Amino acid sequence: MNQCLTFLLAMLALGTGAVNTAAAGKLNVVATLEDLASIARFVGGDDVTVAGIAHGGQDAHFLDAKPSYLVKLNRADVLIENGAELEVGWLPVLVDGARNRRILPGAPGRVNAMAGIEMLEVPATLSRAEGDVHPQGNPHFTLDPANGKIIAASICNAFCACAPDRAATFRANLAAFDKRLDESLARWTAMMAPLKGLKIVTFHRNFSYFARRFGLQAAGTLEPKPGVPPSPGYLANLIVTMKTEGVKLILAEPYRDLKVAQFAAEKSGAKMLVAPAGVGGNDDSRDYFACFDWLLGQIVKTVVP
Amino acid sequence: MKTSRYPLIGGMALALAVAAEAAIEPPDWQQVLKELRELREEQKSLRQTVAGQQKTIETLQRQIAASDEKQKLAAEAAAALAPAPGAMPATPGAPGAQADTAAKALAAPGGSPFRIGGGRSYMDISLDVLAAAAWTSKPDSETRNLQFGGHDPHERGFTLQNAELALQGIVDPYFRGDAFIIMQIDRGETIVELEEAYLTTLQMPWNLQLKGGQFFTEFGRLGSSMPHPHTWSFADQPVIWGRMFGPDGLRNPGARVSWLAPTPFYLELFGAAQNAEGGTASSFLNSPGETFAGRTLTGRSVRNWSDLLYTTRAAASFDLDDENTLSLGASAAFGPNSTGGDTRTVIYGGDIYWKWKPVQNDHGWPFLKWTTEALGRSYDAAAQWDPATGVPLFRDETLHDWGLYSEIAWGFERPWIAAVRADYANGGAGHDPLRDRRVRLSPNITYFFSEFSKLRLQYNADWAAHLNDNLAHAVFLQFEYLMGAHGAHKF
Repeated sequence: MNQCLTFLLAMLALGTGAVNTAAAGKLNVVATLEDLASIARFVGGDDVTVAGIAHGGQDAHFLDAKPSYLVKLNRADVLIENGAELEVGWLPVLVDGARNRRILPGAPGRVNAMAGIEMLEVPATLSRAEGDVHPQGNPHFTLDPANGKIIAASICNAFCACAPDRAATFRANLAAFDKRLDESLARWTAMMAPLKGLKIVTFHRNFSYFARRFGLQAAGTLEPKPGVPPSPGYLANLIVTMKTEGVKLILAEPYRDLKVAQFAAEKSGAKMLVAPAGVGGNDDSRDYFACFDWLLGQIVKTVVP
Repeated sequence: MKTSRYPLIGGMALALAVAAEAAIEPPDWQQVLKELRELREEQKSLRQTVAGQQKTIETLQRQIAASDEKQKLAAEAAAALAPAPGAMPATPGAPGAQADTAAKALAAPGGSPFRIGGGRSYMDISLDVLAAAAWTSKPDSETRNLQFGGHDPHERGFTLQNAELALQGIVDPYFRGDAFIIMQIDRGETIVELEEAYLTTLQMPWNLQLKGGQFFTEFGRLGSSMPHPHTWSFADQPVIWGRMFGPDGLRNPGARVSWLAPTPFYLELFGAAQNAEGGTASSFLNSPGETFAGRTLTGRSVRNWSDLLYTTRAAASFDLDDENTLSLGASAAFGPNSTGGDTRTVIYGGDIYWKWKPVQNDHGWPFLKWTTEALGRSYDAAAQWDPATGVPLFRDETLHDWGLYSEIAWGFERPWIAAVRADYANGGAGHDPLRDRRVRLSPNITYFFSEFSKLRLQYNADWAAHLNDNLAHAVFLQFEYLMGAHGAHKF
């Protein structure tokens, strides 16, 4: 019994110790998406360690609330979530279990990336007859690089609040990030200019923000409603529409039912591009910039022979 | 001369015209012009209508042409997207026949990520209803001993297993609150129960968390991660669970503290103190008048701290890799029982849970989950005498029971899950339905219409020592639906 108690006390001491060192050293940051983690790495530089949970090759809606994530959240100084209910199936239960006041909603260390974003596809009424709709709008906004600047600013604010002594560094990093993003965006826009108005079909509405930014026209989705798999009848209608409208490209994330995308591409004559929707989805998309470099490069390569 | 005649004729004509006009009402030029305009408008609109109709005809012709193509495409799609021979069909029915099964919505296996209401309300409210149709080889009186769980389908015909009203929300910056009010219908009577109502702290220091109120005791995997019947992979609860914790699980008013250890892996230690009375603590004080192993239970109030129920649990979890997670747990519960004045019960248990889910998954599919849980009980049963005659009925003894269940759930293809569970329980008392040797095998298959509704077909083969011919069969068809915003479930 005494040994047990000593062990418990030792663990407790270790626990509080760990928390203290974390506060004194680098900021310990957890981001739900690799997209957000990458932006946090640019803003935080050497003063933060960042762990991302879901990468671009994963469907962030359908992660399990693994206890290992709870451990990560317990030790985090900053938690960056996408918001708009993308992580609703697993994040709230983890935050409740993490017993970490630094990352509770409203705490300076809690960043909701949705703040300040102009949301698309916000439903006027809520009915699950419409499939798995998000009450706050389409949550896949990180795929518009212009939103990257808004997110980076939110992250910078949190970092500055949590480590005021390094605020100047964070602000300088943010300015550098913004500058690089502006330059990249100009380059990407020029690259996509010849494809303006290109009609595309996506599997899920993952690419709505992306399409808007780069002048692509979404002509439909392979799933009839968010989260609802297509029936043969729906698919046949869509394929005929794709032919009449002249859809050139199908974008599908690697975790989708690619048989469906393959079939639609074959029958409609559109090209299919299996594209991870975010950072870390493949070896080339190692950070926020590389992710767009790869994705836009692939689109140009696929559509322009 | 000739020229001078023209004005004359013109003048006459004018006079005639004026005379005629006077005779047959002079024309209203305004009116004529208006009618002319109207005629023109009408002609224009007619022309538009004809053009529109022409367009419609063309569209229809195109559609007729396209419809053949669509039918062909739909048939091809059905053929191309059908699973490999041998696997279950993704769309039931003939190819194309179920052309618009749009409602085949997303489903999430196991701990389904149910949705919270957009953070726009202070509280999430949801209603989950579980109902079942059952057919059993034994009469209902015997089935009730086999299907001992309070939410199990336990009679021929229909059972409303559980209607759970969940109210969940953040109280203030310091607490979250949860309440579960459950309703059942038992032989025409509606039973309403406050199943759980508890506060949980959100920001205690030193990695501690307090919980207080009425709550399920965090004992074992079933008790700590999935106490509510709609989260189970089966239509009924494991045999050993009913024996140890009664029809409704182990829950009572109390308080618990848990500590998250600062280890690199997940390790959480729990300690709880709760009341030991009532049907929701059936291995402990239970209710006066109930029986255990033949003995009548007496009423016993709390005299000192040792008359409360104490539970401890250690839970650990390891990510073996990105796709495999292994969780382990050990629990023990200590408390008084009321066969005598100073008798005690100890229940101990070990649980193991393994889940495989690929990183790239389609709405959570495919996956494989394996859960095994073993429980043992040591029950000090006091001697009892016939109050009238003083004849000894039972001697003083310690009764040992144990049992386990092991289940595998395989989400082989969205939105299907096939599962099988094996139950074993033994207390060495051949004729006591709650302490005899039991072996039960339960295969089932579940189909998710969406994340929020599912249908399950289950078969139970049940060998029980207390049954004369030993074997009982049961088939359950279970349906669940959930409305509203329901909090996310634990792993």
